[in-house]
Amino acid sequence: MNVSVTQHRLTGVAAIRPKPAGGRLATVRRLAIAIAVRAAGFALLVAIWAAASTQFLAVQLPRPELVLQALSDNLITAPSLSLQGLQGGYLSNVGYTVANTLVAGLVGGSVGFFVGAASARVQVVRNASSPVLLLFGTVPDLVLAPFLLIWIGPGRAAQFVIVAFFCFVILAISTQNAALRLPTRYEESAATLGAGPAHRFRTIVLPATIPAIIGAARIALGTAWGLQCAGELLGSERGVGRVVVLSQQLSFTAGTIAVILLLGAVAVAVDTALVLALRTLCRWSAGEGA
Amino acid sequence: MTFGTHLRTRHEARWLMLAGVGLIATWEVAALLIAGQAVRPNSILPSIPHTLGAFSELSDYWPGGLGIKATQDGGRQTVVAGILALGYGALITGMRLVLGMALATALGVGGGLLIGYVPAIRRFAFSPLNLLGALPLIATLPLFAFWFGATTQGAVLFIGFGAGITLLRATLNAVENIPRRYINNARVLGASSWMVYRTIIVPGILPELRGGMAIALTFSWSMALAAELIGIQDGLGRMMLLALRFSEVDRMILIGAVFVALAATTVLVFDRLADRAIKWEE
Amino acid sequence: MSAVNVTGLTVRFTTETGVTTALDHVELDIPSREFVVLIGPSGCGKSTLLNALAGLLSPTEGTITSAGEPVDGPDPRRGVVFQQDTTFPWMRVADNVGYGLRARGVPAAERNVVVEEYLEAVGLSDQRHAWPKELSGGMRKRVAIATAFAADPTLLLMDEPFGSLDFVTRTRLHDLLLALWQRTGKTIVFVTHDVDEALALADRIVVLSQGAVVDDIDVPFARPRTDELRRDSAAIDLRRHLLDRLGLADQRTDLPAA
Repeated sequence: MNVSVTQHRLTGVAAIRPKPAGGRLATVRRLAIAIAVRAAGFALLVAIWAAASTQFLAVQLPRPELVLQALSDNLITAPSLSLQGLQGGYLSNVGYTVANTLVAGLVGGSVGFFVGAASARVQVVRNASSPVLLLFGTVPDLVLAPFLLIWIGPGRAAQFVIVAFFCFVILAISTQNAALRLPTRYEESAATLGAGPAHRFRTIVLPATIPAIIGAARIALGTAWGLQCAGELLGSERGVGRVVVLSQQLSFTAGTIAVILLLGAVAVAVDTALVLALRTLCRWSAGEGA
Repeated sequence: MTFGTHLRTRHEARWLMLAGVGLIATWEVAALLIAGQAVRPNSILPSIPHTLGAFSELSDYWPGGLGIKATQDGGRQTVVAGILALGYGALITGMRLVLGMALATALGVGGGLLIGYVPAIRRFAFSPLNLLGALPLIATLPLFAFWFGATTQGAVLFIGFGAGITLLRATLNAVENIPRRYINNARVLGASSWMVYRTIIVPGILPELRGGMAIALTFSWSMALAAELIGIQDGLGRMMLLALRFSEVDRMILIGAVFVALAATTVLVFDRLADRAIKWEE
Repeated sequence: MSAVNVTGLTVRFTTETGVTTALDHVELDIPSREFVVLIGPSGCGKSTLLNALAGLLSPTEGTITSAGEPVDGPDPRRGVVFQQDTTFPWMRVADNVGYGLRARGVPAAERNVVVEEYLEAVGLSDQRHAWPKELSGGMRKRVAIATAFAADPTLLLMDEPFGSLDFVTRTRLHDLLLALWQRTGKTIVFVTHDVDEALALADRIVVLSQGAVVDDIDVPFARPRTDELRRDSAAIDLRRHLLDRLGLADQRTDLPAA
């Protein structure tokens, strides 16, 4: 029997309730409810914002429709910002930020995953990686940014190193933890069934750590967008950070909010894709898919 | 003959020392090679003795006081003034971080416990908070500087907002994830909703909140550094920016090292406090 | 007045595959001070029945009354010892045992007297300041039992409480539970799937199968019951009868011919 315990009243009485009914119709209904709740949450945010904006000047906190206006005015080309030397509109600059973040995240994250997994099973790799992981697991790697600006100059390469290194550290630590936490019985059982180290790694360690890895990827990416922007704030010709700096120089707050929201929308979309990937890859997992 | 399946690696502390020694040796060798080739080696990688010698140059960032004049008012560059400047910068940056984290904890954990009291509101709050949390919060820095000025107040609000949202989400998640069996048991023993909240929910979220707090703390250091690199006129980040303008890598290394030590210290202190708060955890 | 009266109790769940009837018109009356064991195979509805008695689950049809009052939610007069480990890990042993009294607003001094009494009864006086993580699984069960008794319910519901323990620990806890039961005179409803556990504990065994009561047997053996019971012919007959009811009689595993 498949029942779940849910609560009703104030945090209070727990009752045993059936799990949602099966069937295609029920799935559609559940999806519709989930979307409705999200839409309502979004509407609530916009409502709070609209209410707050009546108390401020438009340069301080513009009304939502002004931000939409700014978005549509500057999407393809940004006339006012181009006078200050910006190429393209919001779309191409958000594209620059997204492409950089994703490429750097993918490169750094993949390397981090392999180093993390290997460090949990090969002592040499553990010894070589732990100084870096221990240090940058506690200290933000943004402190490296000024040095990168000197050594490789402002621009794409410096931003890449910051974001990739950050994702490397997060993924390596998470993968290492997950692989170390994995109960030995699974690998022992596989070994008694004749699986060698490489085979065990591929068939036991890798799948068992995937929920933790995707969780870590979500956390890493969530911060990586901001880190990429911070790199751009420190010195860049393009990207969301650059648009924000130029917009604020003109006190064009609506533009700042518009471009941040546009990047936020992409971030939500990528995060949703990761959640879906998690659900697909980890149907066996009881907890983490939700 | 040994046999068995090698399944786990161990942390071996002596490799940390070895790495430290290796780093220093590599640094010194690289600096020597660069010194032989570059016109201004200090703007690439100065040697270790040269870097240590830059302590007195940090006097330039001392605003004056305690009987020691600022260099722009005719004070001399001394090691004491340099160390004072570093300590002063660290104090200011650290104060911004502590105030920001305090605000974030009040907003995030306090607010999370308030919102989390009613399950329906708690679940409804997830989606707008996830949207807010997905925004590149560091990119809102110029906005905060615009609203509140490039001041301590602006930096504290910036950190409180950014880390606060992280903590709010972590708190609501932790409330949601408390094993139902503890709540059931408390209820059948006669506990009221308020008592369940006080005696089960509040202590029960601490282990999970610990991870969120650690993330928020590191994130706060990033935000404090970014705020000082980009606008505020004092603190370690500002000193870093001034050194960066003249490509004075020796000074940057000293300032960076203090920043790293300060951030690492707060993390260690936090770990100690968290260990104590959840010493009951297995 | 009976401690528990169940009339026409039906509980249905909607599951992935359709509607499941977990309990189907169950009738049950339990007099005060009786030790009743509910037994049945997995999925027979015994835990569902216990949860309904505890007020953790509302019936689809039918009524439950306890001491003459309808059951409409959890109530400290009906204590529960759960199958899972529910000892609060963030409270020391003594605070766990005193939790029910604290919920009722009993002053600390008075509370301590009761807590000490039950800590001694379950043999954990020396562990009163320990964290639950420092105890073994069996000791944590002792804490759970002391907690339930200290809250002083009139009815105690136990859902496979000893399922995860080894034989020796379980036997010791049986003795402890029976001693506390005889001392305090509570009514106990105890769920298990273990026939020997039922024979060791019960005044009366109620067999559930597919959501219905299929047998209701008085257990006549004298107490204290010892291991000698295994050689008693009446006990052997009853044991075989119960195993039949659990579906063990007609099942032999035959592999298909190679």
